[in-house]
Amino acid sequence: MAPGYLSVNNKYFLSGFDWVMGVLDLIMKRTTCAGNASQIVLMLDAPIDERSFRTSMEGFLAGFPVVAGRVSRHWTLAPYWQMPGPKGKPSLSLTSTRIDSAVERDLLAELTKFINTPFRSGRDHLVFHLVSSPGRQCLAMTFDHLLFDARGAEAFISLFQQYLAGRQGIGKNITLTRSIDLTQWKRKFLAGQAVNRKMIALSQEPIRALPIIGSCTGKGFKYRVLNFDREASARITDRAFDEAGYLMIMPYLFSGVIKAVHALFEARGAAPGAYVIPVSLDMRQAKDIRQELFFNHNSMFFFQIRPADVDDRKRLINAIKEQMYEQVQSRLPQKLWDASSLTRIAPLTLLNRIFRLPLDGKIASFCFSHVSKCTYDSHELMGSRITNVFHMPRTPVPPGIGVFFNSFDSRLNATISWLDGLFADVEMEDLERTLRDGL
Amino acid sequence: MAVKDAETRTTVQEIEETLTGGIADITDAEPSSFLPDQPFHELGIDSLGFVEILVFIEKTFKLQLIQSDLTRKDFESIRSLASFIHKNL
Repeated sequence: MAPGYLSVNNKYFLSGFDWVMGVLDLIMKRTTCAGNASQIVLMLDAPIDERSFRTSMEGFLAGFPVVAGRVSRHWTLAPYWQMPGPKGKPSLSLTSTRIDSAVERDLLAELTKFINTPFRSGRDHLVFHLVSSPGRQCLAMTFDHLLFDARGAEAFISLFQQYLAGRQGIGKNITLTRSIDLTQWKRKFLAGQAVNRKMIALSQEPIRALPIIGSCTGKGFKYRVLNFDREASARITDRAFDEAGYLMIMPYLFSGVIKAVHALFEARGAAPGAYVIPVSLDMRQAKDIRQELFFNHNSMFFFQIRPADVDDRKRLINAIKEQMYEQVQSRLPQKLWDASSLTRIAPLTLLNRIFRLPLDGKIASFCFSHVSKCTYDSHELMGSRITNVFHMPRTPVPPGIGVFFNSFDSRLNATISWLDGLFADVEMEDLERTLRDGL
Repeated sequence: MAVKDAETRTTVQEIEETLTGGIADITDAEPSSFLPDQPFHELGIDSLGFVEILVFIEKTFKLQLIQSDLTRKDFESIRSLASFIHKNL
């Protein structure tokens, strides 16, 4: 290693995927009312004391100046996360709201306002919200995807729980440095070649997508959250094991989503073509989450599904399993991860344009993810019982629609996220019903 | 016959050991942390992890199983999977 690089050992250099998150952030700020953020929501059976929460969270955040960092460029042009100076310690952003309605949809509307509110500055990446409604309360954490991915956010709340329990040395093992990664160019270019070939293969057929009409600036996202109780979740798992095979829950859920979205596209008379669906996956092992908590550790699968395969569930599930197998075998997610590091040199504004070149600028038909088992497995927060945990991500635009599954306490949640104006409420009612019926 | 049984048992056991090593690599866990009869879902293995195991099986035993029925009975644990592989080799 050249001597000049020794001085960079104490920095966290962003990965290519962190940089991709930055591009999505820019795209979303330009096309919607806020950037690439998400929200984790903890439903509680009783209110927690706001003052105690504030004091505890302030103390907790003081130990993590990383949450008040911002993106900067090294002289090599490699982007890194610049930690705040001694005066820039993290401050807590907390809102507290009371709503009179006990209707779930009204609570969701309140939570939707938070996720559609942009962060105040480039150093703000977290906002907490306490919302009380008759009979329950929820704690929401809105987070910038530059800081965490969904699992990282779950692990961060879990760490807060450990802090509350008075555990010593929490976060001691978290990785806050990452190498500059300016080596192994041949491997990265070969990975780029493989990814490029995949993109060319995907673009052989027109991509089926709904048009994003004109400028969507100022528009927010809307949400539906489908909760399945333990019995319903167990039935879905059993059906997945029967119809898709042992442990094939993700292909089964995915096939149900494809069927539901297909019905929506058909009803809209969408132009012919194949569905292209990016599916994110966690590159960490379960035990790594305690160390690799901050920043992004995801990659993607890309699925191409022909409408003709959708009506036959068995054929659809087989197509998903086959493509998943082929991509694991060819190590596509790893290659995408490696190739993405080549993008770090380019400015975000340039990448914003480049990202729209393949696939005729449509990028994807819709998004899907299955976060699987929640990293956050506590059932209590500051004396209140946690009744559910779910996510509310802002879906990249285009496509502006996504379905995201997670499970907490053996119960499945499906969050539908869409750009306001893309669908009428009646279409979403249909989508929700078709999805429930198809699982 | 007794000799043949012993040989068969050894072969299944070898497959079991190879599988345990492969799964330990995939999950980044110690091989000793797996019990041969423990169901995979209790080990925290999800769809992706299981597909990685199937890819490992194809590379190691030249058996492609993704389009088989993947029934719970045959695939639930390292032991049942080893028996299934042994029968299909």
